[in-house]
Amino acid sequence: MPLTKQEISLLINPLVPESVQHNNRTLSSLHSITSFLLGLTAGILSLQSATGFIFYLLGTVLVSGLFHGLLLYRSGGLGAGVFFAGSNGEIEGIDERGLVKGGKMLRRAAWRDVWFGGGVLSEALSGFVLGWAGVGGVLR
Amino acid sequence: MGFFSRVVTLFGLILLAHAGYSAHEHTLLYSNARLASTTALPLDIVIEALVSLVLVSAGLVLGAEKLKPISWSEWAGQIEREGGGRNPYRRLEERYSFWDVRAKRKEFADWIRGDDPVKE
Repeated sequence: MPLTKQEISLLINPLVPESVQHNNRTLSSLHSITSFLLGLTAGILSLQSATGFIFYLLGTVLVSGLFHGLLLYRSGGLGAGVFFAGSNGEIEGIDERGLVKGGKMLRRAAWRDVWFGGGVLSEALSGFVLGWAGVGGVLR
Repeated sequence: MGFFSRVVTLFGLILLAHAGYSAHEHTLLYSNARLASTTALPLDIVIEALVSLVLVSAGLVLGAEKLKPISWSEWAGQIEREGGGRNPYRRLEERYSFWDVRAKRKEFADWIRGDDPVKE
């Protein structure tokens, strides 16, 4: 059976699990702190129902955008593929024989980890609701 | 970047606290005012809260822990450039080579003879 692209990618250019874990942990701690702050702000602005969740969405987009900008800056313009594994570490532009187009070893779909990863829709959201309800209850 | 990001975060938090306190005061003052046409927050509090949010997020993002490269080659290259102190395979790479037993034995014998106190 021929190897899949993902398996070839991991053979050619292995991942360091420790670094992957460290990066994901950094991202999720950043998201949980900022989402709590977003909750505090939503409470101060006394947003209600759907407006609050739209506010959360916009806020996380802001935070992810800033983080992505920082990633671009730190990696010299290469982007998230240097720091996040994306779809299980598959290299962008690899073919079945293991040749990589462009010569840059970047992971495919790593931007998804930055924009949707780090517990944005699970743990961070609960932090947001906590801050929102708490401050909203005290102020109003 | 550490100090700068901390200052920005702290300033943003102060602004946020101030916005929260202002919103509280506003609620207290306008909750019983029947003549007031609206109880919506004044624009300056809203702007202050949003600006503080942007500042705090920027500060937190800038102050986030440094990310490590995930590709094995880059990671190993970084370790080599730092001098190999963190290399997990150092035990395997820095081994004794073959030991010349005869030479060592001769050296030892010469040393023993040279220091013989009975002979002198």
